[in-house]
Amino acid sequence: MTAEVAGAVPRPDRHRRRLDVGGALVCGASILLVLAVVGAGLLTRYNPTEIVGTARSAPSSAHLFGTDQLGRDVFARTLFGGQQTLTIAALSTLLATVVGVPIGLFAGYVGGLRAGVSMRVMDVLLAFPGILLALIIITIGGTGRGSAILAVGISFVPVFARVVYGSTQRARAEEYIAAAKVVGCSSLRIMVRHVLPVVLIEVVVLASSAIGWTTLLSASLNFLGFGVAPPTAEWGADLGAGTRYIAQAWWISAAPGLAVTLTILLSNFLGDYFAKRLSAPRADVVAATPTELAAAPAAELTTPRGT
Amino acid sequence: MTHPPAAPLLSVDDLVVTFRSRGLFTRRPPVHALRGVSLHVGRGQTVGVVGQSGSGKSTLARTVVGLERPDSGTVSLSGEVVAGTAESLAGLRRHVQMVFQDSLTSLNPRRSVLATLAEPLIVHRTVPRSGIRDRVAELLQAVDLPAGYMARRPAQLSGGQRQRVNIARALASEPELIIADEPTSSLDVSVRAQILELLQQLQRDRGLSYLFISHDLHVVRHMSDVVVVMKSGAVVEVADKATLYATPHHEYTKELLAASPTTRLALARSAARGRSRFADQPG
Repeated sequence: MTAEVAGAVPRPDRHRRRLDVGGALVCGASILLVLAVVGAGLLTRYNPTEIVGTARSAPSSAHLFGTDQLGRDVFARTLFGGQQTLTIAALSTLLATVVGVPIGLFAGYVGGLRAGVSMRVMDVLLAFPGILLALIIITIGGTGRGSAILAVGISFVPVFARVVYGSTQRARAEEYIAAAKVVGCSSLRIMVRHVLPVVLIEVVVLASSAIGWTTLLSASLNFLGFGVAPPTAEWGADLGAGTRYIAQAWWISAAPGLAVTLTILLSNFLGDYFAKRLSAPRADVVAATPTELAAAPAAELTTPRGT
Repeated sequence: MTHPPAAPLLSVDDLVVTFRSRGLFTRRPPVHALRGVSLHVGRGQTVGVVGQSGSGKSTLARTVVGLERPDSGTVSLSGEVVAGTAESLAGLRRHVQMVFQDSLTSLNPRRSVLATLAEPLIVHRTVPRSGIRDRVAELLQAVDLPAGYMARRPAQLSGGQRQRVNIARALASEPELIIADEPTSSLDVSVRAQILELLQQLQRDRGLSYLFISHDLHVVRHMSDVVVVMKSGAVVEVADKATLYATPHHEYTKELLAASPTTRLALARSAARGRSRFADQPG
């Protein structure tokens, strides 16, 4: 009759989750995309920078996506181009995470004037369109892959800082944070041990969506000519090069364009999937377990709570 | 630390805490949570604090443990002023611990009982790393929980068990004073008596002092040597238990006593219930 009987409260049920078909499809497709790009050399016999056929020939069995303005294989260029685009996207997302998360965590937890100032700086950066900010950084740092990673990464730092700042502020108000302070934990310990694990869930969701945004931004920079140098294949650069022949040979632009679109779609779906999966009502944050409720007589559950 | 023999363990003198909402666009009037509160807790003593919601009881608790900063006034421990400065808080935190009202929200849902109870031991380096497990087992034993509960997370414990973990966490740094802020109000009635009995037993065994905060006059009477009545952020009456309940002086105390059906009912109820409940050990 009392709720204090040992073993009455079972472990929260975690494994009885129904298979999520949509989630499995999105994860599978994402893995396939990455594998195809990483293993580009195994999927095509053509060298992406070598002239292998007549210029601007339409898609055929020999050249699945046709050939480009110089006679290079578009399928090979699209696969190898992904290596450039996705590397820039992944590394810049990593950069934005590594820089943005500590800024948001610190500002959100410590608060005060310094936090206010750093978040206002983030707000100013956030107010710039990403492409403009990236172009400013390119102007300072010059073109090239490293500079593109830096530019895209820095453009997304405020996004991560903002999100982490907000969720840190929410986490900071938790009673168990007050309890950790009373116990004697340092601010650093509380941030790392108590706040970061909560915030990381949102960071995972954000980062998986951000891959799409950084892909778009890095393709845009390359489209404008501020990325990798020709003849290296890259989605944005190839898309840009194909625009001059769009009336005669649409496939030159279409293939890398579709690749960018697919990446952004998958990344957004992946973000949604993680958001749903990680924030689903968890057994360990529900107020009382069903067994506990069953163990206590109904009358006792209506006991009014004090201040 | 020097201990002047006359100094009580905890002295709160003329404590003033005001909450101001500072916003760019919002201006609300400041809330005077504490308006000059003074009280003393002697060694081994339990001082109960009663008052309605909003009387400043919880703010008092949070200021004494250093979660809120006083605008003025002092909190001293064994005659040494501890409230306000950061260095002194580090020392304070070993000697003054707190049991929170809500047993669920005051435990990190992601951390196991072991991780929660090990934290004060790690932070204060009172126990070598290799001895932490044994010490946590001792702490669990002290609050009548089996050592096997170390691996559990808060959601896998009942309300009463969680509050026992909270008490064990407060005990971990071997404090002299424990602030108990409504420690039983989030619990089922059936478990309340057990937790109160545990607190009393720990006091006897370890010579603890309590600042015991509750809105429940019956519980305060059961636990305290001295009772402090608070209203609107100020102390309106201080008296030893017997005097307060027999001959309340302040109008507000009389109102509280009159308004509390538990005062008389609960006495009858606890007599009828007998002591069998206290013997209930969790599995």
